[in-house]
Amino acid sequence: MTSAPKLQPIQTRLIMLSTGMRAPIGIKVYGPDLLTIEKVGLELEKILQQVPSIETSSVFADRIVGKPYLEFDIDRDQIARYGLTIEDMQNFIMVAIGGVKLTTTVEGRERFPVRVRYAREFRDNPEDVKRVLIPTPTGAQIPLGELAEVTYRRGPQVIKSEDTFLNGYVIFDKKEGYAEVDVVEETQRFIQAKMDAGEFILPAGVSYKFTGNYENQIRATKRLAIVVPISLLVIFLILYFQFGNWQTTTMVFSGIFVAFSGGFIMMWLYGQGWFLNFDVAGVNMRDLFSMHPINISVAVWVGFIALFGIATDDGVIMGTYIKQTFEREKPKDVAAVREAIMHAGVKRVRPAMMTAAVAVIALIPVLTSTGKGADIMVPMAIPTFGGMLIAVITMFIVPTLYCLWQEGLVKKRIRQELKTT
Amino acid sequence: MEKLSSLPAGTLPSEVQPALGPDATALGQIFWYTLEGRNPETGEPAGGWDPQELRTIQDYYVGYALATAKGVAEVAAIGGFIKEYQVDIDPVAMREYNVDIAKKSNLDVGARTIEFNRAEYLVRGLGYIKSIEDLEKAVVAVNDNTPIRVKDVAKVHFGPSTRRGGLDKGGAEATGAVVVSRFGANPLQVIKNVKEKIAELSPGLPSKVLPDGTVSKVTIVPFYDRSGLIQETLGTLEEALEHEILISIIVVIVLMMNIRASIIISSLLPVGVLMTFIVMRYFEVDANVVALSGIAIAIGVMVDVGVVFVENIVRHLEMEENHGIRGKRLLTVIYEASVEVASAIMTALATTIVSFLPVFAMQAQEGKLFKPLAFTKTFALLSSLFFGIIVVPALAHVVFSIRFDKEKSKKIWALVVAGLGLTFLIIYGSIPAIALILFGVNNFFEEKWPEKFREWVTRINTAIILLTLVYFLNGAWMPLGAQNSFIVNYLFVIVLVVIILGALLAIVHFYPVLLRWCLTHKWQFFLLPIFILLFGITSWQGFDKIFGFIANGSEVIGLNLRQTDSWQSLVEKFPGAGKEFMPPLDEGSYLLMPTTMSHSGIEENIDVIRKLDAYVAQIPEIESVVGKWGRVNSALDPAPISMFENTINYKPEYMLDENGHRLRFKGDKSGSYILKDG
Repeated sequence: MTSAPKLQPIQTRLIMLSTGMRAPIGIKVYGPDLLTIEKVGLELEKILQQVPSIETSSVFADRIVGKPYLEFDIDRDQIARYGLTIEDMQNFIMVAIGGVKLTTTVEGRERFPVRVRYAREFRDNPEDVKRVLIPTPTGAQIPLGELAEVTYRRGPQVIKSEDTFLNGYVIFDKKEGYAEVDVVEETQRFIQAKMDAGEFILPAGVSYKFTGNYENQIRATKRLAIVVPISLLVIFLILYFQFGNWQTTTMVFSGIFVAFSGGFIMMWLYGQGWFLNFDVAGVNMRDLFSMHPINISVAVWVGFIALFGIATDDGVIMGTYIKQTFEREKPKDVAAVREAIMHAGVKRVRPAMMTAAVAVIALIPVLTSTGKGADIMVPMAIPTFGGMLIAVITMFIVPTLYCLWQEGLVKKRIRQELKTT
Repeated sequence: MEKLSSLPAGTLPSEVQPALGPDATALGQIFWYTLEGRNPETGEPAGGWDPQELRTIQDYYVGYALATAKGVAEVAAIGGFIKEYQVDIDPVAMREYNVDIAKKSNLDVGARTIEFNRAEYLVRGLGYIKSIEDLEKAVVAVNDNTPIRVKDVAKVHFGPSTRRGGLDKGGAEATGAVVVSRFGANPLQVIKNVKEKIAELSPGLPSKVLPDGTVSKVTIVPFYDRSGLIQETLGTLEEALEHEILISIIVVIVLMMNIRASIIISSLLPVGVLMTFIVMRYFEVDANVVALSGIAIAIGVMVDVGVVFVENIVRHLEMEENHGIRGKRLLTVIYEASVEVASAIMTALATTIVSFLPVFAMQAQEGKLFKPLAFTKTFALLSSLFFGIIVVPALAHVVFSIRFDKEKSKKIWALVVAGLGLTFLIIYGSIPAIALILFGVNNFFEEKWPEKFREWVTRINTAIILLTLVYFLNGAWMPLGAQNSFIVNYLFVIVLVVIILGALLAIVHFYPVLLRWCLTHKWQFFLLPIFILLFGITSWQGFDKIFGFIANGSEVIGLNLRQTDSWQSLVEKFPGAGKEFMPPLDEGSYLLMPTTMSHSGIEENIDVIRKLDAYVAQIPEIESVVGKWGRVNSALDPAPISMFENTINYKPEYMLDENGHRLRFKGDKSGSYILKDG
């Protein structure tokens, strides 16, 4: 009996629906006939067991041609001697050995089939089957063994095909702690290296393709690569409409990059064993927050998209008030510029901190959540949590950048005035 | 269907009849059960039923009945034996055989009606095979005027038909079936309907009396019920939402230090969440794990609307010239304050909402999963925006107008509150009632405080409310786990909130100083964000990718930077984030799917699966294991007999009630549980 990858009911059905296999990752081997496919599959199995990130015991190639077939090769000359046709013989084999459903009884709601077959003693094993007498039109009864040759052959138990081509699967699972896509990429390189070295040769007409859950990841990433920039562009535009000039917009927009980094830093810290590794009242902090290495998944990207939306909020709060203050005070020199910024900043610090504080603290119950379903919530919350913590720094970045800009303008104006006088 | 019927004749062999499968996918297998004989009083397994009896009951009673439940695509049976009449031909006794025997001996006919004595009779010819004897009497051939019957040339008996699938429960053969829900149906609803049908059906299931006197009634015993998982995930999320709301309110109170302002802001949250649910109903967005997570991550932002508005209003009200104003002047101040920040809020919320819209562009699996989340998050934010802009300023006017000017009415109020608290404490024994008492007492003695300490009264009020809220939060959340006492958890929550708030408030306090430094030392300051950026990108892509060019450059010169220890350790620390499609979701059950070699026969497979189940059942964390070999009687299942599918349910970490919330049991001083009977 083979081993099996770790599977759960819903997850397995999802995998089966999208790939057709019962494992999260696998290789589909397409070929001209089943024997070749099986041979290539077995070779791949050996290669895959050498890849370091693959769980060796989980690798399994389909044993396609393994079911024993008992074949009756009907001798046409022989049956002709007795006046039998192929159809007669086939009929006989079908009814006597396999049994044929003649009719169904109707007993109230229940329906039971009526099956005709030879008595068990006569068809229990191949030797007895050969001795079964077949009635012929000529009246003689001839043993089956003389009219047909009984041979064993190995054949397929299940025939799989996709898009009209025959195929077979080699399934495998990754080792704990590795990410799916990384494992697939490593395996691809490994196999390619073997092929380049001549150790693994594909016969004519055979091709192979990686398949599995990771295909979703690739497709999702492609789509995200479009979705995320659009999201960022939209944010930029909205900021532009609010501020009216690209300098302020860029300053506020910088908050996104900082928050983005913050999110990744938090994810990295989650994976570091030393982060928050202390106990409070017998409960390890890492356990409390379910800290383990987080892989980038679609859920994480959704968390980032959510983060982008709020990363600029602090900056907006700052920026609008600074703009309003400057319109009111119209500073004329560097010192006045700095004063104006101080005024604006100090007034806006409190709401900015409060929004950041609530956004961050509100996520703590999500991060400590256990129980089913938490596994989807937590990777979405981590980027937002880390990002917002770091985004606090935008409260310093935006005023400083604005100051830089305005000081530059003021200095330029002063220089021009000096020139004209 | 059209494609099937338009296939050119001869594509398929003549006996092959293609038929459409059920309107479902294998993902719809939401409910598995076995039929067992159980003692109706004790629920203990009693046995006594043959596999083919159970399979017959499944096929013709239970299966049909359950298939009528709304939303069920099919009920596919497996296990047991399908009973059939078996005519075993003895070739020695046969001279010739005729394939048509049984066909010609098994039919009923209708012969219209006869009218006789002015009454109408419907005429029927009865000829269906009803028993083995009927079959045995059928004529095979006539030989010298003697009819040869089936019983002369064959033995007729009941037997099992060949099967390509079976069920094994914990080491013993079982009969059961799977209920498949229709594509797009709500599984929770379907399971509910199925359970209703089961309740209708169960009293009518047959029972028999065993030789030793026990009664054994056929009972439907589920072994995989997806509604359990669904309820648990919903429970997790409901809890998370509750906790989030509570903790947000606490933080708001601490930050605002103003009870009235906090009331306004806090009312935003529950109303916003509820409004989201209303909109979800009308847009037919199902509430599932992912959708509710959308609300969970939006809560922090929902509060922002209220916070920014109210904070500005309060700031204006606290200005010297605005102390103690009422009526129209109050209205004007609130108006000005709101208008001042309105555009900032609109922009902030606009960026938040619109930036999330591209999530709707996701496709396939992730699209199906995350579109509801995009919906709920957007709804949640829109509701809070709506509520914030329209209601908050008006609410602020009302709340800030409330005055307790008359000393006397203040005192009476205080007494009433204290009295209520005392009553609750005595009657219900609820600890939070102490808060009411303290509240009342504090306000009662307000006038006794000297003038400059007056504001301490408000602070004490705030503190009381805070502590009570933390009490509630703690009771629900228990972050340090149920194994630590309530007090310990309480302190932990307080410490946690204090740390984060303390850090943020410190920034507020030191802001002027820090900002001035930044303004005068701009370029030194900018190093910090640049460092953060680098750190972040390195975490994402991996040390080697980002800084690889340095190593490459150094190799050209001749220095082999890459081999140094420090480089290696940096690469190890920063491998770059791993990539996967979805975070793994813990479902509470496993599917063990090993395969046997393709040439192993049914007997071997049954033996193997029995041993497998017996071994697995011995693991203490396992609650039940049911093994299936082969396929269920459905178009959705093409498994060969060598493919196993064992459904393993394991015990949940905490005992849960039916809504998925953790159960808590009362304990006495020595640490043992108090039972219902004391």
